[in-house]
Formats: sequence, structure tokens, C-alpha cells
Amino acid sequence: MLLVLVFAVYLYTLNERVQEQFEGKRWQVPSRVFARPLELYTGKTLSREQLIYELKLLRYTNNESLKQGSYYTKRKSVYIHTRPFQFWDENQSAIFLEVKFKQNKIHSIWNVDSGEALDLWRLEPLFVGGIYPKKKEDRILVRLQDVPDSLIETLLAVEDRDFYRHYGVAPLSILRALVANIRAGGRVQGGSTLTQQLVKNFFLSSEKTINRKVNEALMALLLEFHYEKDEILEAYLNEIYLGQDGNRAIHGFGLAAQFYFDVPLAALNQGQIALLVGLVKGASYYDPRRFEARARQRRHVVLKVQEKLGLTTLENVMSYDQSPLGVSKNKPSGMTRYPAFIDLVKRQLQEDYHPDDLSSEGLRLFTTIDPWQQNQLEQAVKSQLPKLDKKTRLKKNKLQVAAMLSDTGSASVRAMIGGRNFRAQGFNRVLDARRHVGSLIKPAVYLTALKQPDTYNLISLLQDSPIRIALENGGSWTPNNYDKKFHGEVSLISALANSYNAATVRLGMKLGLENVGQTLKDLGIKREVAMYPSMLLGASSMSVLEVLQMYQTLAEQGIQTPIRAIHTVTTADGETLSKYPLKVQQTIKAETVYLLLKSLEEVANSGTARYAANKLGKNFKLAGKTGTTNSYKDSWFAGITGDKVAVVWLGDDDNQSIGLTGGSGALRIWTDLIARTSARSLNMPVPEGVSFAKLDAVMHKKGEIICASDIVLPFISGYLPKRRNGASCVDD
Amino acid sequence: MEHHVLTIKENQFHYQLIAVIFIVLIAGCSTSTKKTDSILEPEVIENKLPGMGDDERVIAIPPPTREKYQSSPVVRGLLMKSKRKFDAKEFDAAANYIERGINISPNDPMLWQRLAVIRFEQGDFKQAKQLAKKSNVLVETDLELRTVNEAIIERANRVLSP
Repeated sequence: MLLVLVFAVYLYTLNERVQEQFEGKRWQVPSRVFARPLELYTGKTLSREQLIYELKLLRYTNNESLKQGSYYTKRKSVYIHTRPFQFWDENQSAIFLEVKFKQNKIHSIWNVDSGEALDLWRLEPLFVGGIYPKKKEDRILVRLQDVPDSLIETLLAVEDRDFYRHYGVAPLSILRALVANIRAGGRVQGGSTLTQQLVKNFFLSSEKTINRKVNEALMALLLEFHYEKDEILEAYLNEIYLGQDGNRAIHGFGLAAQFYFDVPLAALNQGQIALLVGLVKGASYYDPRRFEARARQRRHVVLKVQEKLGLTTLENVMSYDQSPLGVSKNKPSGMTRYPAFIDLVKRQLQEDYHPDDLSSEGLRLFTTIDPWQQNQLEQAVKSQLPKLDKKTRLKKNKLQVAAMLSDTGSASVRAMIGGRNFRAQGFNRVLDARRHVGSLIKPAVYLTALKQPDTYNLISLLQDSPIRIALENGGSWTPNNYDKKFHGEVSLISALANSYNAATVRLGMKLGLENVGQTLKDLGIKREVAMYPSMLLGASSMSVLEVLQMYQTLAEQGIQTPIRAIHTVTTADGETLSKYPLKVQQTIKAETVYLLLKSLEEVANSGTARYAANKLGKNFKLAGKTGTTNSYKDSWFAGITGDKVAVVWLGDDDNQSIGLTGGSGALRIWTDLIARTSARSLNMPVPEGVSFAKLDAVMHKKGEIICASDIVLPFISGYLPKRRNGASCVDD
Repeated sequence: MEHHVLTIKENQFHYQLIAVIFIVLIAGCSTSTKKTDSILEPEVIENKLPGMGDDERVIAIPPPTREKYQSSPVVRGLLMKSKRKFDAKEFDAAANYIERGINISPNDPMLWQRLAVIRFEQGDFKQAKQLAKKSNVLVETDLELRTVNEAIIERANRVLSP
């Protein structure tokens, strides 16, 4: 009696477990992260090479077949059989596209079948990685009605002939297996039904004990008692383990079709179906990429079953047996190529989503990363880093790098790397390495001055002379210049262009640290920055992302635009869950920032970033700032062009001196990156409230007085400068 | 982040704004680029500030000629698609087209202005105002665009602090 009661209680708990799992969330489906889609339109600057790069990443094959996901080139055109894609804002069907090029521009786009010209078309976005739960199972959920009948028939024939007739366990099958196993003197056959296999995968460990076998059978019976056969079958199709990619487990036929053949489930042929069903028996033992012979043998066995079922002919079986497995050579990796960016995406989403939901709900995350530009950033680092490695005093491969590239306007992140090993997960220097920024902070000081047009303009004279500042701890601080010289009276614009420390500290102290701090906030620095005098020279730690935000606000002429990595999150079915729309806020007057940017242009024209001007050409305008910290521990460059904002940092994780300045280090990578990705020279629109004046005045450059009567500079309207008495020109 | 809820606020400014924008759109639809007479050589203006001596001259350069802003063809297409969604009161869809345009042509003041109008219609007056300001930074010499931006800012201000 007691025994019966105990058994009843036990059965009850098992039942609870079965129902809970089956009713609730059955699977943790990782979120899928997508890059920006490549927009194709007439007049776009895009090389054929660039388009083909994208198509290759999207795993389009280069041939003249009619298959979706293929392309070929002919004369000046690229012909593409596109794939359908459900975007966040519309469903785009597959078409046959001709993209005609003229030089490095798209000349026209045609729908080949209908013969009509298209003004705009976007390719499907690249899948760039998943956000996985701790248990790294990956799958693409499929519904039963979307699974080819022949796959189901084959599966049932091979794994569980009596599926639609039994109650969860099939004693006859177990008996049959037992006999076979005894005969063979080992385990050769399994007698488990699909339901039992599902239970095993779902609830139980893989240990082989009687206890577990009993549990398995009981739970299978319970499952059958509660649910329809079709529900159980659908669960099985999504649950079954079919392969391994590193530490990511491939589950279900939906993902397996993609993982092995690069096609959706519906497009599988009989041979492919045979292989996938064959893998159920042992996905690692029959791994078609590692053990081709075994896999072929297994496929043959399943093909013969198909032949018996009438799903295929003997002729076909023979023909498949002669042909290779057709497994795609490179497995489409779920491991992201862009770990630093995925990390940023995760963090931006963590404010709105619980981490468990991100790794379990199968969300689709549409992001801003541009694979082409990301590749250009990686190439720029690859080509410059070896030269910088030679210049640095660090041990081999110790020099670290972090960089970010964004668009002007939308502030979308297009590329980023978090270390010299682009593919490595782990320490993300873009977000987590907060380092002193050196002179990168100076624009905030000068901007604070320019906010007072009645007192400061670009030719205001500053004193670049020794200064001693008493500190609260009783000591004092005497900032020195990089060249260990003082330059006397210098104009504001040249003090910034040449990054004079003494002039900056004098100016900053006069303006007040709180006011400089406010400007940092206006520029988008959210954290409280400790306000002490050495902060004026960048003894203040920031991340690459924070610096990018600062310079982005400058690039937008005082319109603070949050750096964006994500724009839309949808459910697995494509329903929009949340949007991260473009948001802007004016925090500094456009005319004030315009003046500052003119001085930052001077950094490239005549200041510390002349290297960039020499490389990119005098006609290519940019505004930027170098940063070098004490003892050469950090090398920075942040800069703006007509379409890009980019920040590069070099340093050592252990904070050793790297022996590079901003100009001799980070600027090299920045310049290479901009040469590859930026199409527009900086051409700032002139905001209302700015007037220009041809100066009949004196400019100072590197301590020398030069005549600069032909220089045109911007001023705040109503505050045009006066000619200064007593100043003299060298040419006078 | 925003979970968009489509609330359409009816208010007295609504129709005024539409009217102003409509007028400008009609003006914007004419394909010819209207250029006012351009001055090839900048006229030298002697600009004397109060208290300046005779030799203390600053030569101010006159502002550049007034030119109408022209969106690129692809952006014009997106503006039209957005307008259709806007007219159907599908504001999120209308905004999607504009954001797509901004990715293609970030410095087009027309796009930012349309986004301002969409946000205004959605009742997000703060963003409407800020987006109009953004558009203004890019407008340069197109006075018509500037006028609409100012109208959006003024009306948003009135709603925000009546």
C-alpha cells in the first residue's frame, strides 16, 4: 500500500515536470544578430569588388544557376538571384537582379524577369552571430507543416516505424533490440521510440542505468498521455542533436539543413535528407565533414530505406552513392567574427532586456555593423600594426589596439575591434579599457572658451608660459609642453592645433573646471568626471566608446546623437518588439562647434596630425586631435571627416610605456582606415550665426609671428574681431 | 528606447503645421533648381565695429548665395514612400523610410525635417523640436526649409510650455 502511494507521488512529480517543460518555453533559442543590409541604388559609390565581397559573405555561390543565393558577373554587370528576407519593415521576395556598374558607381539596377528598373534594392543582411545561453544549444525552430513529408517519412521509417501506433514505448522494439544486442555481444541497436529519445534529450542525462531507463519510459508514457503525436513529433524535429560547431551544439533539422548544406529545410533533396536522418544515430560518429566514408555508408543505408518506401528509385540511390555528400566546405559558424561588436550589442540591450530573454527567445536583432567597413578596419590594423610593433618598446604582440568607426548623422557603429586579435572573445578594450585620454580632452576646454564669444574667438591670444598650480594636498603641479618649450603669446587656434599644454591649463583654470566639466557632459560623457586641474590635459580615464561619443557630438555640430549599434528588435516571427529610433538633442550651439572644428582642421593642416593630410591629400579635409599620455603609455587619435567619425587607441594592458605618440601611433591606423572607408572630405555646413572675415591681423605659429593677412576664419556674427595694436608682422 | 504606441494627438497646431509643410512640399516638388542671382566675386564690406579706429579694419565676407537644397534621387524616392505612409497615418513605417534615407544621405536636411514632422504627429514634441534643430544645422542657405523648421520648433515650444 505504502509502495503504491510512494509510486503515485513519484509519478505525480514526474508528470509535473513533463508538463511544465512541454507547456512552457521548450527551448532556449539564441537571438540572431544581423548586420546592416547592403543598400543598392543608382548612383551609389560601390565597386563590383565590394558587392561581390558582400555576396560571398552571404554565402552566395558564383555560378549561372537559377538557384536563389547565386550570382555571376558578365561585362559590367553582376547578376544576382537574391534570397527572400523578412526585414523589420517589410518582406522582400527573391528576384533576379542585374546590377550594372560604371566606374565605381552603380549605374542602374534591373529586375531581369520583369525588365523594370529599380531605384532601390537591399540585399539580405549578414547573420553576424548569436547571443547564446550558457548551455550553447543552437537551433532554428520549424513547424511541422514546413517540414518536407519525405523527411518525416524517412525519419519514422529509420527511427520509429510504429510512432503513430504506440503509446510512447514499444516493448516489441525493446525486445528486438535486446536480442540483437545479445547476439552481437554489445549495443548495436536501440529500441527507443522517438518519444523516448525526446524525453532523453529533454529531461535526462545520458547515463545508462536501469533507473534512468525506467524514468524515460514513464515520462514517455506521460508525454503521450497529454499530447498529440504531431506535437511530439514537431518537438522532436527541433530538439534532436545533429552536430557540433566548437562548443555550440547544432539541434534540430532546421539548423542542420543550413549547417551542412547552406539551404533552408524545404530545399533539401533526397540525398541530403538521407544524410541528415542518418545523423540522428550519431552525429559525431557520422560527422560528414570529418568522417566522409562513414557518413556515405550511413547515407546509403538510409537511401535504401527510402527506396523501400518508394520515396526514391534504385537508380537514384545508385546515382547518390556515386556522388559526394555535397556538404558545404566551410561550416557556417555561429561563432561570431565580430566579438567586440556583439559584446556592444549585448550591453546596449541589457538595459531593456533580461539576459535570459536575449539568449532564449529567438529574437532577431538588426544592427548597424557594416561587414565591408569592418573588414577595412581589420585590414588597416593588419597593415599598420607590424610597423608600430617595430617602433614600440614592448615585447612581441603586447601592443594592444582598440578602434571604432561610425557614420556621421545617424551615429551608427560601422566597425569596431576590441584588441589585436579581432576574433578573440574576452577583454573588450573599446568598452572596458578606460585610459587617460591626454590631449583628446582639449577640445572640451577650447569649446568652453568659445561658448563666450564676447571674450574668446579663434584669434584670442593665450599665454603659453610656465604655470604652477597649488594642489589640495599641499603639493603643486607645473605642466610642461611636449617639446619642453614655452611659446609665449599664441592664438587660440594655434594653441589647440599644436596642443600646447601650458596655454590650455591657463585657459582651463580661467574658465573654471566646472564649466569644462559641463562641456564634457554636453559632449555626451555620462559618467561623473573627477574635476582636478590635470584633467585639463586628459588625466581622465575614458573608453574608446566615450571618446567616440564626444567626437560624434562635435561632428554633428553640437547635436548630441547617441552612438547606435541596434535599431530594431523583432520576435522570431518578425513582429517588432522594440525600436531604437534616431534621437538627437542640441547641447551646444552649432556656431560654437563650427569654430572649434575649424581649429581641429588646423590640427591636420599645420598641427600634430599633418601625417594624415599628407597621406590623404591636401584637398581631403578632416578635423581631429592626437592624444599622448605621460611616459607614452597611450597613443590616441580621434577624427572626423565628411561621413565618418573614428577613434583609435594604442596601449599596453599592463600600462607600460609603448613609446608612441598619438601622431606616431594611433594616427597611422586612423589614416589608413579613413583612406579605405571615408568617401567625403569634411565640408561642414555653415550654421546661421557664423560670419567669415579675411584677417588683416597677426597669427602665431610655433612661437613665430607670421603674417597671415590672407587667412579667412569664422567668427560668431556680431563678434567680429578688432585689429590688435602693437602686433607686428614678420613681413612688415 | 521606445516602445511605440501610436497615439495621434489632435490639437490646434496640427493643421497649421500640415499647412505650412504642405506649402513647402509643393514648392519642393518643382524640379527646377531655383537659384537666386549669384555673386561671383564677394563684395568687400568694410565692417566697422563701435570704437574701432580707421586702421582697425576687418573685412567681412558676405554670406554665400542662397540655394535651394536638392535631395538625391534615391532620397527623393524614399521621401515619397514615407509621405504615402504618413498620409495613411502609418507613422512608424513613415519613419522607417526616413531612417533608411538618413543612412544613405546623413546630411540631407529634408530627411531630418520629415522625421521632425513625423515625431510631431506622433506627439513626441521634444524630439520634433530637436530634429528640426538638427535639420536647421544642415539647411545652410535654403530659407524655405529653415522657415518650416522654425515653424516646427515654435509649435513644439507652444505645446511643451503653453
